[in-house]
Formats: sequence, structure tokens, C-alpha cells
Amino acid sequence: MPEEIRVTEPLDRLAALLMQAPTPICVTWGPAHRVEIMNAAFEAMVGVAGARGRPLGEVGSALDAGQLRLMEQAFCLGERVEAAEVALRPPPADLHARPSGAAGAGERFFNLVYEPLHDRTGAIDGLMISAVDVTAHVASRREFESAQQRARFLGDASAALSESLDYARTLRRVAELAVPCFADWCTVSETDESGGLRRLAVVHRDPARAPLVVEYERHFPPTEHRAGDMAHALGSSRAVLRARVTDAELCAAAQSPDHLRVMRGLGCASCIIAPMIARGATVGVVSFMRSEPDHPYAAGDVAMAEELAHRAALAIDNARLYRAARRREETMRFFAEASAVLSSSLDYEAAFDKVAQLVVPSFADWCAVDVKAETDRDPAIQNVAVAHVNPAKVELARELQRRYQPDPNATYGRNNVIRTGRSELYSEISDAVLVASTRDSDHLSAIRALGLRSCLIVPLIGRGPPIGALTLAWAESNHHYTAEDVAVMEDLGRRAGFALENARLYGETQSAVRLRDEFISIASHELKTPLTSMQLQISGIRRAAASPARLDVEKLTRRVDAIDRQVGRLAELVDGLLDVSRAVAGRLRLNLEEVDLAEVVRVVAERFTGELGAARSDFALDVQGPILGRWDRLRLDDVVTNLLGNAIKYGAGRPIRLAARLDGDLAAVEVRDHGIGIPEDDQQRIFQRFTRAVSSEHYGGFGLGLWIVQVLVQAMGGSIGVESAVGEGALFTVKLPCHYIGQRGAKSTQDHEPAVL
Amino acid sequence: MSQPCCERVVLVVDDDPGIREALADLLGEEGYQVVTAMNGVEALDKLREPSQARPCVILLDLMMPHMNGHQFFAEQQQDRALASIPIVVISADGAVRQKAAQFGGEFLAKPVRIERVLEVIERHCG
Repeated sequence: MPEEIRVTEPLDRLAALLMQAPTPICVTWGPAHRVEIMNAAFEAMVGVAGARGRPLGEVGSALDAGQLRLMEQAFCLGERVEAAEVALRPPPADLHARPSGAAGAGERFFNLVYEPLHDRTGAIDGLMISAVDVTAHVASRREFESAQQRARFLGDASAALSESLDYARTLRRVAELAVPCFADWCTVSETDESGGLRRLAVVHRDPARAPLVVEYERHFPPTEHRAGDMAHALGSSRAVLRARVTDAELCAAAQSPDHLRVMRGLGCASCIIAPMIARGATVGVVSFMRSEPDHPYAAGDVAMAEELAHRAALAIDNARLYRAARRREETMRFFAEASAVLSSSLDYEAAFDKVAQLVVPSFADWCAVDVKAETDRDPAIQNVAVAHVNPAKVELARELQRRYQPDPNATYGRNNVIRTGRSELYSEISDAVLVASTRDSDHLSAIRALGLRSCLIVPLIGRGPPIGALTLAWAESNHHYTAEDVAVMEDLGRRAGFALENARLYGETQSAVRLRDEFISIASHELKTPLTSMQLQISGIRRAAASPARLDVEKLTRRVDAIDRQVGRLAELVDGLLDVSRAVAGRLRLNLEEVDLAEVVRVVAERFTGELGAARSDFALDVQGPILGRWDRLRLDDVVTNLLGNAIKYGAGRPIRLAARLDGDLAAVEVRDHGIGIPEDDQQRIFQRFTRAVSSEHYGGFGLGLWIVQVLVQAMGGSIGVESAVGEGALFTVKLPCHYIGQRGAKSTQDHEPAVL
Repeated sequence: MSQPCCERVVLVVDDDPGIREALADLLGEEGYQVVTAMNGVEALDKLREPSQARPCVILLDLMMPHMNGHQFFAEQQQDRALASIPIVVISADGAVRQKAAQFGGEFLAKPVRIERVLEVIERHCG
């Protein structure tokens, strides 16, 4: 004992001891609990100094109303009153205590004892308040409780995650679990094949912020938000903790004022970004966010975040595996059905319709099949099937197709796929892509209305170059195509391509056989007609020879002349057949020389004078001559003869106009009639071999005229076209370059068509 | 067709002028009065002309513009005054032989000798 204490009075000595005691002690007197003695430890406990003489209830705010009531109880009843684990916080107080949270900064816990003090008469005149600091004890118990709670939470999480193998639901489950216990809001994103991130779920504890969540999901994909932290989390395979995200940081990270507004609205004061890793591979990222700055994430939360993310990753991995297995099963079933459909019919349009119906809804919300038109003259691409679960949407898609024909030279899209034979995968269709690929605002809003999210275009390929394309799109169901889908659909594209080719070959063979039969019938009719007239004349001559009395030299001469004419006609027909056969074999030889087209046209018109008169058609010849160029005179004559002959034949006695003029470097011949006209559907067909727009019963001829005309015109580097409407006649226009250089053989326009002659 | 059949009139319907002329010429030599038409429409017009004598037979081609042989036959069958006139089909289409049954079974394949034509006509007009 130090000297100075020994010399003091006993009471003073006791007071001095109390003052120095390490445990907090306070002595009060009177019903107002005025402080008589308050040692340093007590002062530290309540955060107040120099309180002597003041009522304890007015000293600071550390002891709350509850404690004051306990003091009253001890003082009035004269009982010793104890209070366990009283939390004393030097101000300011944290009003946002969390059930699972650890002790706040500076918070301490004490067991308090209120002991009544008695005067000499035995009356109660004060209290002695002593305290024991149990902060460490409380903290370790809380730690234990929190660990238990965490284990329970993770256990619940695992149970919830294993409930479903549905991929989308599992992802949503992950986000839902974290909110509100661990985060105010949570986002889950998966990594795609290209290493990018795709957000799949956003959950916020506050239902009032649902519109902001929707806006966030729609317009701010994860790759553009906090990409640095996400990339870091993915790269290091460790969670990234941002204990405090200041508003300035939020401003810096925001890509637009809208983005900033949404982020502020959702609240991002603190966050942890945890990678989801399963079987050594990163499957995605979970972001946990807390909105309020006074309850940030601490280093201790990172392990929890990682653990939750790990369990989520396992669940996602399982769901992925399950989905892949289901997909394989579906794919196999789909291929079995598709093959059956494709092989069941040689009517390929019907077959494609069925294939499109099969693709929807397992592999697409939308499916369209487009194929190259069969005619070589017009390599247009036509839509043969569109499918969507909703027929009204099919009509909308058809309407769009009609109104906005894709640019045939575009370096992307269906036409490019058909041209190059390479598939195109648009895993994520952003609004920017839509804006870039549409013509105008009407087109854009119509396309937007379709709600396309992901698109895949694969070629239809048989043995040769691509013959069409299969376009698939996800919209409402919000799926995305992957490299795996490309392989599956390319396979379908090949099967469909072969089926289409088979159907076409079959169709072509069928029509070639039909054409041949028809041609043989027409040819025999045409050949037999002059033969019949010859046969009749010959039998007449024979009869005359049998009875010389009836022999009339004049009549005989007439008959022989008639036979002669029919021989000439037969020879012409045979020449026609030879022309056809030469043209088919591609051996048409041109004899190019300087020719005046105007003169050729006039000569032909003159030759037709008789027939024009007989047909009673008004005839107008409009030739601005001379029109000089290098052509084959006889072939040119054939072309004009054929066209004018047709005009007379089908002109129904109405006016006919034949015109020729020079149009820059091109010479043009026009033949206009006002006869029966040609239905639109037949306008391509009439240039093919052995076809006529009208039945062979009505009009004679080989049905080869226009085909030969086309072969001749093309051989001279030119083109032929027709404009017509039923009942309004037809306008045939031939355009020929005046100085065509290449003297190539007239190539058959349909190389693969079996030669029928 | 008011006059009774006393002159031996034959109607030749064919779109080929060579065949029409040859038949007219040769049948004329055999004492037939030959009326010609280049298609079904013209044939019906001629048959319905009041001054025209009723033919004892019609030689009918099938493949003709405007109105072919089948259509002509259908029209003729509708017309009570004409329905009974026998028809002989002369066609280059061999397959028509079966169809010719509809026209009374008479069929001549082109090319044809005048003797065969006369033989058939005489059966109807003789």
C-alpha cells in the first residue's frame, strides 16, 4: 500500500479505492439518484465525466429509461436488481440493428447491479451501481449464433437450390435466397461461350422498386456495369468486396444519366461480387448489394458470399447438365420427327411447313424457311414457311416479309447465309442491332414489336451450293442461342437441304417427263399436219392417174405445188427442232456481223403483211433507223419473227405495235399486243422449254418459240422481258448491247434439266 | 338448215388451210358439196346459217384454236337441230381413238388417205 493512502481517513481511503477500481462503480444518493461517486471506469462506460451532484438519469443518454426503471425498483423496494448484457453505446446510436449483424462499432455490453444503500436508521438513501464488462462474452456468443444462423441459411439455400432442375428457376432462386437476409438486392449473371456475361435474375427486397428492377434488367446489361469488378472477380475466382461505394464512384461508373438514376434508385452503398465456380469452371457472377450506407459489407461477409455463390454455382451446373441432357433428348426426338416429315413427302413446301412447326416451340419462338427460287432468270429468294405458336404473329411476320424485302447484297442476314453458306449466330440481339438493320422508324417499331432476343440463321445445303436458309429466333421465352444450337440446326439445315434437293429433282424429273410427253404430242401433231395434207394430195394424184380421163394438168400442178409447200413447212419444223436440240446442247453458233436492226424489223414486218391482214389487227411500225450493232442477222430475224408471230397469234385481232429504237448503248425491240395477255404466274414460265401460257388444245406450235428467243437474245448478250396482265395483252421487250464482244455459245439456261430431245 | 338432205354436203372443220383445201378439192371431185370451217365457232356459224344445206357428215379436227373439237361436239349436242349429224374425227392424236367413241366411234388418224375418208363418208351419205 502506498504511503499517502495509509495516512488518509478510512472513508476517504475507501472513496479513493472506489475511484481507482477497474470495474465501473457509481454511488448515488437520494430519490433523484444524484451522483455521489463515479469512478473512471464508470465514466468511460457511460461516456461522461464530472457528473458529481447531477441526477444520473440526466447524465448522458447511455442509461436508457429501462435502466432508470431498474434503479427506481432497487431504490423503492430496497432490493438488489441485476440487468444482464445491457448494450451501452457511446452516441450516436445505430437505429438499424440487424438480426444477424455482429456488434456495431464501439458497442459494449455490461452486466449491471443496482444495490440499495442504507443510512444509519436503515432507510434507503442511495444506490451503488456496479458493472462487469461482458462485451467479449456477448461477441463470442453472437459469433456462435451467427455461425449457426449462417449454416442454417446455407442449408436452406442448398435445399432450395436443389428443389428444381429448371435452369431459369434455379437462377432466380439464387437471387431470392440472398434477399433480404444477406443483401438488399442481388443479381445473377451467367457467362456465355464468348466469355461475356448475361444477366438472368435481379431481385430487390423492396417491391416498390420493381419498375426500377425491370428498367435495370432491360437497358443495362451486366457487361456495361461495374465491368471492372466483375472481370476481376471472374479472373481471380475470388469475391470482390466494395465495403463503401460512394456516390462519386457510382457517378463515375454510370454510363448515362438514366443508368445513374436507376442505380441510385436501387441503392448501391456497398457490394460484394462473387464468382460462381463449379467443377473448376466459372459459370457466372452473383452481385450482392446493400442500399444503406450505415450497414455495409465487412470482410467477414466475403466468405459467406463466396459460399453462397459456390452453392449457387453447383446448382446452376447441375441445372445446366440437366438442361443439356434434356436438350440432347429433345434434339434426338426432334431429328427423328423432322427426318420422318422430310422423307414423308416430296411436296417440299408442305414438308418445310411441317419442319417449321416442329422447330417451334422447342428450338425457337419463330421459325422461317426461305429458299432460292427455282428459275435461273430471277434468283429471288422466297419464303416458303413461317411458324410461331400464335398464328396472328405469323401473319405479322409474313406482312413484314412482304413489305421489307431483305437487301440481296447485305453482308449479313438470310441472304448472306444463302450466298456464303455460313451460319450466323446473334446470341443477344441488342436494340442497337435492330436500329442498324432496319430501314426506317416504321420498320424498326414493327421489328421491336416482335421482341426478338436471339437469332440463328443456318443454310439449307444439299449436294451443291446453299439453296436456302432456316431462320430461328427466340423472343417471348427469352432463351439465347449458343454454339451448340448452331451445330444442331446446321445438321437440320443439311437434312432439309437434301430433302429439298430430292424434292426438286423429283419435281424437275416429273415436269421434264411431262414436258417431253407434251412436246412429243405437240411435235407429232405439228409434223402430221403437213403430212396429212401431203397424203391427201398424193392420193388425189394417184386417183387421177388411175383414171386418165380425169387427168387435169392444171389441177395436178396445183396438187404438186401444195405438196411442195408442205415439204417446205416440214423442213421448217425440222429446223426448229434442230435449233432446239442445238440450243439444249449449248452449241448454237452465232455469225456476228454489222447489222441494221431497223432494217431487220422492217423486213419481218413486211413478211407478215398477209397474216396481219388476215388477223384484222391494226398494225403500227415504229422504227427509228438505222440501229447498227454486231449481231447475227438470221437470229435477229428469228427473234423478231417469233415475237411478232406470237402477237398475231394471241393478239385476238386487236392493235399490234412493233417498235425498235436505240437506247444509249442498247438496242431495244418492243412488240405490243392487246390480246389475251399472260397471267402473272405464267410470265416466268413462258420462257422455259415446251411451255405455253395457254393450253396446247387451243394454240398449235411447239411451245418453244419464246424459249428459243430467249436463248438467242442471251447468246447475243441481251435480255428479254415481258409486262402483261390477263385480257390486256402483252409487251415483250428485247434489249441487246450494240457491241457485244464475247461470242460465247448459247449456254443452256437449265443445265441440270435432263435433255429431252 | 331448212332443206332436207338431198345434196351430199360434207362439213370439214380443220385449222390447217392445206388440209381444208385438199379435202374440199378431193371430195368435190367425188360429187360432194364441201363446206369448210377453221374452228368450232365458224363451224357452228355455218351450220346455223339458214341458207346452208344440212351436211350428212362432219369431218372434225380436235386441236384447233378458239373452239376445239371437244367443245364443238358439246355445243352441237346441245343444239337439237344439229345433234343428229354424225361426226368423224380426223386427228393426229392417236390417243384420241378411244375418245372418239363419244363422237359415234368414227375416227381417222392423220395422215389419212382420201380412200379411207371416202369410205367413211359414203357410209353416212351414200
